Amino acid sequence: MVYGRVKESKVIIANELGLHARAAGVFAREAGRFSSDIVMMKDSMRVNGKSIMDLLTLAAPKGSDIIIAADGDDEGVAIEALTSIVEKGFGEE
Amino acid sequence: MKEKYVHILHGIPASAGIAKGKAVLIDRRKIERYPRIRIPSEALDDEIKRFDDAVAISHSQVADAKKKLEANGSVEKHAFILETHLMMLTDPVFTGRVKELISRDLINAEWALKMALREIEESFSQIENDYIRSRITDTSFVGERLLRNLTGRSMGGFHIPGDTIIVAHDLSPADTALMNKEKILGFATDVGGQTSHTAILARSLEMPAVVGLGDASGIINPGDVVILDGISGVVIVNPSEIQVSEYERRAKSYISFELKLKEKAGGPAITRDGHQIKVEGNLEFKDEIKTVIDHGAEGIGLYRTEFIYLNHKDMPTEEEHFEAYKEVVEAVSPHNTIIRTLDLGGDKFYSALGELTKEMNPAMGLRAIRFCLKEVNVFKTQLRGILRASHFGNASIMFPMISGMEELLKAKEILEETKGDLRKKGIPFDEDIPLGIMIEVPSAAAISDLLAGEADFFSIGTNDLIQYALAIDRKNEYVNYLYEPLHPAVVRLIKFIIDSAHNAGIPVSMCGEMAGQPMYTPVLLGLGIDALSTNAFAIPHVKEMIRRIDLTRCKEILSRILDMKTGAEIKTFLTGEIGERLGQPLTFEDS
Repeated sequence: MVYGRVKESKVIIANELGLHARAAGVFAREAGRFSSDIVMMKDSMRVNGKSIMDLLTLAAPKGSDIIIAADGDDEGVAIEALTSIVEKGFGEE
Repeated sequence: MKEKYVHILHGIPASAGIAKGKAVLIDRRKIERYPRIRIPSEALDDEIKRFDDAVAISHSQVADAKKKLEANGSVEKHAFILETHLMMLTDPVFTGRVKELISRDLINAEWALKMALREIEESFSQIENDYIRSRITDTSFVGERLLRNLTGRSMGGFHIPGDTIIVAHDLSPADTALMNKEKILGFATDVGGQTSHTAILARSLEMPAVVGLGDASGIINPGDVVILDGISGVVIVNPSEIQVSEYERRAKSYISFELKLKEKAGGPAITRDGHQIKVEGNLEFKDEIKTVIDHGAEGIGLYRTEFIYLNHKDMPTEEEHFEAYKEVVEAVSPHNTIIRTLDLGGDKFYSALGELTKEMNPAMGLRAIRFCLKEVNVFKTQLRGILRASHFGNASIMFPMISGMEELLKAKEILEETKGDLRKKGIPFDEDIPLGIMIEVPSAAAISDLLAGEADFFSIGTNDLIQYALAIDRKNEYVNYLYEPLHPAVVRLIKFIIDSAHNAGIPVSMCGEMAGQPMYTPVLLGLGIDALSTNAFAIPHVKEMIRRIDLTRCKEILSRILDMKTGAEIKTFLTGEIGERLGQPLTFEDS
C-alpha cells in the first residue's frame, strides 16, 4: 500500500449494537464486492475489511471512531459505499 | 459383552413430546483427535483442493439449512445466524490462512484448519465485549462442520438409522435444522436451556428435546436405547423391559391424551367439586405469545424481561422497554400480564457499566432487585416502560428476589417517584397497576406475613426458593440429588407463604418449575394456591390434572403429607395417589 495514495475515511459506528455479527457480515459482504484491498482500523488495530472474523475482533461498540481504507482500482467507489453503510448503521436503525 | 446400565438423567424439558429410540452421538469435542500428517509437496494442490471442496460442501449444507429455516416463519430470526456462518465459511482471511498453513508447513488440511481456528479463538478470547466474544461458538460450529466434511464424517454422511435420538454436548442451529425429521425422534444435549437454539428449533420442528442434562453425551453410548421425555425433562438410558413396556403404554395414551388435551386447553380448569384455578403462562420472548395463548394460558403469570438487556452493549432505552411490554400486554388483554423487573446479576452488565468486579457467587450476589436499587436510573427506565405499557391493557409489576421489608419499601418508593414523573408529564398509565413480589428467598418466605401488607400479590418462585432453602446448587452434580420439591421444609415454607397471603387478603400464584409438573398440582391445590403459571407446553396438562381432582381430596392429601417426615415418603405417597386414583398417564417418574 503506498502511503498518501490510499483512500481513507473516518466514520463513527452509529447503530445501537455496534459492530456485532450481523453488522460485520453486512460490511464484509459489501467489501467483498470490490477488487480493492479494504482495511478497517480502530485504535491501534487494523483488520481486513472483507473478513467477518477479523471485523468481529475489533469489537467496536456504538460510538467507536473507525477508519476505513481502500487501495485499488475501485477504491473511490468502495470508500463511498462502505462509509455510507457504517453511517446508516448497517441498515439496522 | 459390556453390561448396560440403566441411567435416569434429569434435564430441562425443552420441547414437549415423548420418544424412544437408539442413541446416535454427535460429539463435537472429538474433533481434537485428528492427527497431524505431513504431506508430500506434490500432493499440495490436492490438499488445497480438498479444503476448497470441504468449504463448498459446507457452504451448500448451511445454505440449505438456512433455506429450510426461512421457509418456517417462526424461526426466521435464526436464519441470520446461519448467514453469519456462511460469511465465516467464505471469509478470505480465514480460508486464506488455512491454505497458507497447508502450503507453508506441508500439513494436512485438518491440522491446518485446527491451527487457524486456534488462532481465531485466541484473538476472540481477548475481546472484552461478552456478546462478541461468545460468537466464538459460531466459529467453532463452522470449523467443526468443515472438519466433518474434510473427513467424510459430514452430517449428510452421518449414518442416521431410523428411530434415532440425537445425543450431543451441544448442537448448532444448522445441525438441528438439517436433521432429517423422518429418521430422528428427539434431541438430548448436555448444555442449553429453554431458550437455547436447540430448544427453540426443536419446538418449531415439533420434536421432543431435553437439554441441560449435564453429561448425557458422556454417559450415553452409541446404540443405547433411550427414552426421552420432553415434558418432564427425564431421559432413561437402557431402560428395563418393564420401563419400556410402561413407556409404550404411556406413550400411546400420551398421544391420544395430548390431542384431547389440546382441544380442551382453551377451557377453564375447574376441579370436580367446582373450584376454578387460574392457569397462566410464563413468557420469555414476545414471539412466544401465540404459542402460550394457543396452549390455553389465561394470562401471563411471569413475563421475564431479561432478553431486553442481553445482547446489548448499552442499557436498553425506555422506548425499547415500552415497545416490548405494550405488544405483549395488548395481545394478552383482557387477561393480565405480570411483568417481572430485571432479574439478572450485575455481572451481566460488566461491560455496560464498566465498574463491577466479578463475583464468586453471583446467585447470592448483586442481582435482581439489589442491582436495581443500586442502579436506580436503570430501574426507573424499566419502570417507566412498564407503566406506559399498562395504559394499553391489563398489566402488573413484580419485583424479584425481595429478601426483606426495606428492599420492598425502597423499591415501592422508586416506583411511586416514577409514577409521579409520568403524571407531571401527563403520560397516561394504569393508576391501579397491581404490584406483587416474588417469594423466592427463604427470608422473604419467613416474613411473608409482614410483606403481605405491602404487596398486592405474591408469586412463589420455587426454583430459587428450593435451592436457597435446601442450600444446594442444582447445577452441581454432586449435590443436585438433594433437590427435592417435596422436602417437608419446602412444603412448610409454601404453606406459610400461602397462609400469610390469604390472611392479608391477597392472592398467591406460583411460577417456578414445580407449577408446571402435574404431579405436584394436588399438593399445591391442597395448599390453597390461587394460580399456576408455567411454560406453554405444560399448561394443558396442568389444567387437565386440575379437572380430574377434588379440592376436598387435595386438602386431605395435604394433611397426610404434613405428617410425613421425608421427601421420599411424600413422593411415594403422592405417586400412588396420582397413579391409582387418577390414572394420570403423563410422566415417567423414576419411581
